[in-house]
Amino acid sequence: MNSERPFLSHFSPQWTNPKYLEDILVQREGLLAESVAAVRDSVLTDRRHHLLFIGPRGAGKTHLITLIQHRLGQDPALADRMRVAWLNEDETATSFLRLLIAIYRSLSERYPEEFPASTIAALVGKDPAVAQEQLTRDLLRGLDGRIVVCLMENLDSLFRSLSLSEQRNWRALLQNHPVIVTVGTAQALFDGIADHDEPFFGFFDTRHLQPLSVDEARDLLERIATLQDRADLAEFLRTPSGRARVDAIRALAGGNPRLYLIFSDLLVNAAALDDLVRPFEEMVDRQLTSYYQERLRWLSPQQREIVQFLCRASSPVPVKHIAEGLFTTHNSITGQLKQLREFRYVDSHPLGREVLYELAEPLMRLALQVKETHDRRPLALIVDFLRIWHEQQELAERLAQCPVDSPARAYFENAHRLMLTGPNLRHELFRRDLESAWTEECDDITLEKARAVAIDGVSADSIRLGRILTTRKEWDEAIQVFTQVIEKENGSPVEFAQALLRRGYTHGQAGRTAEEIADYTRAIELHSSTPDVVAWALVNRGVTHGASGRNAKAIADYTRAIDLPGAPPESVALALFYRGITQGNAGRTAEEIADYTRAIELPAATPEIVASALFNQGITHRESGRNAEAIANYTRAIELQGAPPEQVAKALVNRGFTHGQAGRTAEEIADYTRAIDLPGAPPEQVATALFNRGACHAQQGEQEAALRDLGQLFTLGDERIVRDTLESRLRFKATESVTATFSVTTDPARWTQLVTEFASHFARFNGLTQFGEAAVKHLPSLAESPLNHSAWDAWVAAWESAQASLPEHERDQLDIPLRLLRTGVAWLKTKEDGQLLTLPREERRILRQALNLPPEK
Amino acid sequence: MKSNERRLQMPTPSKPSCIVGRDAFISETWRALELKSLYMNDLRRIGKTQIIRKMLAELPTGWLATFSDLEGTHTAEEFAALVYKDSASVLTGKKRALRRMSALLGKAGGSEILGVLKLPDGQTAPWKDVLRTTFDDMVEALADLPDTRMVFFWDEVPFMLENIATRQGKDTAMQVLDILRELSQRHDTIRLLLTGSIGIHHVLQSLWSEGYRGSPLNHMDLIQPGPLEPEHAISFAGSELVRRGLICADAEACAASLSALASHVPFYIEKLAARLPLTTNVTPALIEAELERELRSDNSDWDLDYYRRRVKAIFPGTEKLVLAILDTLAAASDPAQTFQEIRQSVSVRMEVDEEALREHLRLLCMDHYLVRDEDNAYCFYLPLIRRWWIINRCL
Repeated sequence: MNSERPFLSHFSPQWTNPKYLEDILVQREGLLAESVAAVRDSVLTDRRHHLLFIGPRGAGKTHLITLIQHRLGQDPALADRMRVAWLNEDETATSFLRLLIAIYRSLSERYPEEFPASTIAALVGKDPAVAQEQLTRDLLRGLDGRIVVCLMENLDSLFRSLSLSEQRNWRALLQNHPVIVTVGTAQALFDGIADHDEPFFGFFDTRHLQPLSVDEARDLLERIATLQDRADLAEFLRTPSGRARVDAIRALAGGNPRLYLIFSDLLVNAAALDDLVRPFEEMVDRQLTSYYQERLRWLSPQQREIVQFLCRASSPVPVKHIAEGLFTTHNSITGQLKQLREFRYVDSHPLGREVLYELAEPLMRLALQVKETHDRRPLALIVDFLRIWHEQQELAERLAQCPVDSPARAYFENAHRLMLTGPNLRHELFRRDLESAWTEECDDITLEKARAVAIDGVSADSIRLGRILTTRKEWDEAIQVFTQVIEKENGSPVEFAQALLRRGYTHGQAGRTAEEIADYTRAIELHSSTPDVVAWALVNRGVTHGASGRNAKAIADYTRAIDLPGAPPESVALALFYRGITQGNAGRTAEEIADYTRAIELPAATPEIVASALFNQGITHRESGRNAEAIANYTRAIELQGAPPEQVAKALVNRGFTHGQAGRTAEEIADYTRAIDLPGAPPEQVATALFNRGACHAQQGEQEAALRDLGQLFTLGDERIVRDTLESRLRFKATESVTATFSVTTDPARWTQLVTEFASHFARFNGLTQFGEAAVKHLPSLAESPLNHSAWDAWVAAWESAQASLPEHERDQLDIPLRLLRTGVAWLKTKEDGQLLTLPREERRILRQALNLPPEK
Repeated sequence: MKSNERRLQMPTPSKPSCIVGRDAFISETWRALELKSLYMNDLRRIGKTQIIRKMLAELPTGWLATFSDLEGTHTAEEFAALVYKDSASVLTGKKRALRRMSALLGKAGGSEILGVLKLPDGQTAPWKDVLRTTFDDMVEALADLPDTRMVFFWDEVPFMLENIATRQGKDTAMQVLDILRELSQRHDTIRLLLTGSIGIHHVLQSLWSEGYRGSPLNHMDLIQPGPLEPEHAISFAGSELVRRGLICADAEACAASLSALASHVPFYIEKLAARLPLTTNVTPALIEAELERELRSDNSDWDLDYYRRRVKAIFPGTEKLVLAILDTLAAASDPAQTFQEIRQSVSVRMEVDEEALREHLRLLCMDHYLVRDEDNAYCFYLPLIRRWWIINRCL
C-alpha cells in the first residue's frame, strides 16, 4: 500500500521524518558528522564555527541541515545550552534589524516562554538604532548565556538584500556578542563571503556539496528501495544490469540527489507517474525556470546561444559541432566554452583527442525546455528516464493500463513512440560510456553494457565486446563473438579483418598457438585488410614465433611490419624493439643495438617503448663491458618525460648496480634510494633496491641503515615478491642481519628485540636454518669485539629469548645453532677443547670450522 | 537581571586555551601598552581579533579593559555613546561612577541607555563632550584605583571611519581621528589598542585628499602579529586534522605540511583542511595537490585574486611598476631579493626611478604584500600568495 510507505518529500526535506533522511544519506556521512561536531563545539566552548554549504538546487542542502539540526537536538549535552532559529527559506531582510527580528521571531515560535512575541511588538515605531539595541538586549536576555544555532537557507539572496553597512552591523553583533552560530546554505559562492573586501570574507567554513557519483546514485536508489520495502528492486539495482541502467541515468541526469529521489518514486511505485507529473512540472516552471533564466541573463549573447545549443543536444558534443551549429568559428566557441566552464555552466569530458561538452546542470536543460515549448509537451528528462529504465514491452503494457485522461499518458506515449522509432537511448548512453572508458576497465557493469549494445548487431560493438571478454580472460566466449563477426554475411571487410586479428590474439592468450598464427596469417593475406591490421598481425605473429624459438620467422615478420607502407608508427616502433630483442637472443649484438637505436629515435615511439629500448640497450652495453654507455642509457631512461615508473625504477636499480660495480657506492645508494621512493615503482624493483642498498650500507659499516633496509624489505606488503628477492640469497641476508644486530648496540634488550624480530622474519621465509648458521659463524667476531664475557652471555640469551618467541613447531630449527652458540661462547671464554666435547662429533666439526680451529685429531 | 546587562557590554571572553601561539606577541603588546597606545594592522583573517580576545580574557594585574567591534558604528554620536557605555560597564563592578557624565545626562545612565546619548532636554549630547567627559571621568575613577590603567580595544576602526565619512561626511571622520589623538595623548592612565585590516595610511590618504592635514596616529606604535610561529601553527594544523576527523597515517608529517603550505596562517590552515577528503588517507602529497587545485580553482572562496585587484586600486598610475616588482619577486629562484637585485630585474622591463622603487617597496610592505628579512632583502609576506601569484601571472 502506498500510504504505508515512508514519506520522502522531494522539495522540502524538513517535512520528512529525520530517521528516513538518515537512512537515505549518501556521500555526506563524514561531512554531517564533522558539521555536527563543529556546531557542538561552538555551543559548548568559546569557539564559533559558522558553516556554509554550497550547492545548486536539489543538491541536498536542506537535507543536510535538517539532519544537523536533528542530531544536535538528540544530544542531551546541548539541551540547555542551545536554541535553534530556523529562518524561512525565502526570508528577506533589507536591514540587519529586520534580520534580527526574523531570528527573534523564529526563536519566539519555538521557545515562546524565553522569547516572548511581545518583544517584537514593543519595537514598533522606535528609531531603528534604538530598536536594534533593544532587541539585541532582549535576545541576549532570553538566551541567558545559551547559543543560538541559526539555520539560514539561501544566504546568498539574503546577502544581496543587505547593504554593506547593514552587513557590517550584522558582523559587529556577531563579534561583540558571539552568541550566534550560523549554519547557512547558498546555491553558489557569492561576493558577500568570497570577496576580500566584504565584511564576511572568510567568515564561514565553506563546503561545496559534490554531485553524486554513479556509485553514490546507485547507493541512494538502493537505500530508498530498501526503505520502501522493495527488496526486489534493491536486489535488481545490485545486479550488473541494474547498475548499468543507473549508469545510463547518471549520464543523462547528472548527480543531483533530488532527481534521484524523484526517479526513485517512479521505480518504487508503478503508478507514481500520475501523481508526480504535475507537481514536478510545476516545480520546474515555478522554481527552476526563473532561477536558470536569471543565470542565463548574466551571460553574454554568444554564451547564451552556446548554453541553449547544449540544452538541445541529447549528449555531450565536440566544439566543432557547436561551432557549426552556431555558424561561427571554432576559436570563438573555444574561448567562450572556457569561460562557461569557469562559471560552472558546462562540463567537459576528454575523449581521445577531442573534448566533449555538456551542461553542468541537467536541470537547466529541463527548465529551459519548459520555456522553449509552449504546448505543454512532456518533459524530456522524464520521457528519457522511462526510455532508459524500461523495456519496450514493459512500456507498452504501462501505456495500455494508463487512463486516457491521466497526465502521465503523454509521457508513456512519447517514451513508447521514441522507443519504436528512435535510437535505443539506453544503448546510446552505454555506447558513450564504453567509448570513453579504457578497454582495460572490464568490470561486470562494463561487460553488461557491452553485451547489451552488442545485441543491436553492429560489428564494432561485437568487436568491443570480444575485446572486453579477452581482457577478462573469458576466451571461449570472446572467440565465439569474434567468430560471429567473421562469419557474418555481408559484413564489412575491414571489421572482418579486425575480428581475425582480435581472435588471433585471443587464441594466443588462451595458449592455442596454431589457431593464433592461422588467424594472423589470414588477416595478413586478406586483400581487404588495412595496413594497420596487417602491421599488428605481423608484430603479433612475430612475437608468437619468437616465443616458440623461431627467431628467423619472427625477424622476418618484424621486418615486414617495419617496411610495410602505411603501417602505424607505433607498430613500427614496437616491431623494431622486438626485433632488437630477437637479434640479441640470436647473439647479434650490433643488430640488436641498431634496432633499439632506431626505435628510440622514432618520433612516434611511445615513452614506454623508448624507455624499454633504452633499458635493454643499457643491459646489452653492460654485458659487453661498456659501463659508461650503459649508465648513459639508464640515465636517459630515467630522465625521459612520460616514461612509466616501472621502467624508471628498473633503470635506477640497474644504474645503481653498475655504479656499485665501478666502486661508486654513494651514487649506487642514491639510485636505490630514488627507486625506493619513486611513486608507482613496482614492488619487485623496490625489493631489489632495498636488498642492494642494505648490502651497501652493511659494507660501508652503516649498520643502523642496513638494519632499516632489512626491516623494510622483510615488511614489504607482497610476501611473494620478498620471497622471490631473497630466494637463494637468504644466507647472505642472514649474515648481514646478525652482523648488523651485533654491531649496532650493546644493549641486551635491543639485541633481544632485534634477534626476535629477525627470527620471526626468517621463519616466515623458511630461513631459520640460515639465520642460526649465521649466528654460529659470527662467533669469531664475538671474540674480536671489546665486549666482556657477560655481554657474550647476554648475546646468547638474546638468541634463546628469540627462539622462545617462535611458534613451537619452528623452534627446533634453532636447537642445533643455539647449542653450538652456547658451546662456542663457553670455548671462547676458556679456550679449553674439553668444552667442545659436550657436542656430538658432527656438531663439533661444524663448530671447529666456525671458530677457525684445526680439525679434531 | 544586573548580570545580564553587564554581559551586554562585555564580549564573552574566549578561553585562553582556544587561541594558540600568540603568548609572546601578547606579552610584547602589553609591554608596549605600558608606554603608549597601539595600532594593530595585518591581513584580514590573520587573527587580530582573537589576539584581542585573548588579551581581554587574560588581563594582567593593573589593567581594566573593554572591547568593541566598531564596524557597525555609523556616526560619531553612536561611537561616543558606545565609549561611554563601555566605560560605565567596566566601572560598574568597581563601584565607581562616571561622575561628570552622570551630571551631564541626568538620571539615566550606564547600560540602561539605548541608542545615542540624550541630554535631559532631549537633545543629542555633543559627541566630543561625551568622549572628553567620559575620559576625564575614567581618569578620575582610575585615580582611586592605585596602579591601574584602562585600555580600550577597538576593533575595525577604519571601517567605522569609513561609515562615519559615508553618513556624516569626511569632515566628521577627520574630527573623530583628531579627538582620538587628543584622548590617547592626554591621559597617561588610558590606552587605546586599535585594530584594522585596512592600513590606516589608506584611510588617511583618502582624508588627506579632502584637505585633512593631521597625522592622528603618529604617536601610536604600529604592531603586526603576522602568521603563527611554525611550532604553534603545526600544532594548530594537527588539531584541525583531528577535529575534522581526517585519516592521516603520518599525522605529524601531515600537520607540518598543512601548516607550511598555508604559510602558518590559521585561516588558510582551516580552509585547506576543509578541502581534504574525509574518506581517503591524507598524506603530505595529497595536501599539496589539494592546495594546487584550490589555487587553480575557479570556484574558490579564498579570493586570492584580491591581491591582484588591489594593486590597481591602491597604486593608480604606478600599477605597472608594482606588478613588475611582484612578478620579479615571484619568479626569482631565490624568493628573497635585495633592492639592487629587484632594481636590476625590474629595469629589464621598464625604466626605473630608484626613489619611486624604494617608495613602492615600502608601501608594498605596509600593505602586507612584502616583508623585509633580516638581510634587508624583500620577499612575499606569505609564500602562499607568492605561489598563487606565480600561477595567476603564468610566471
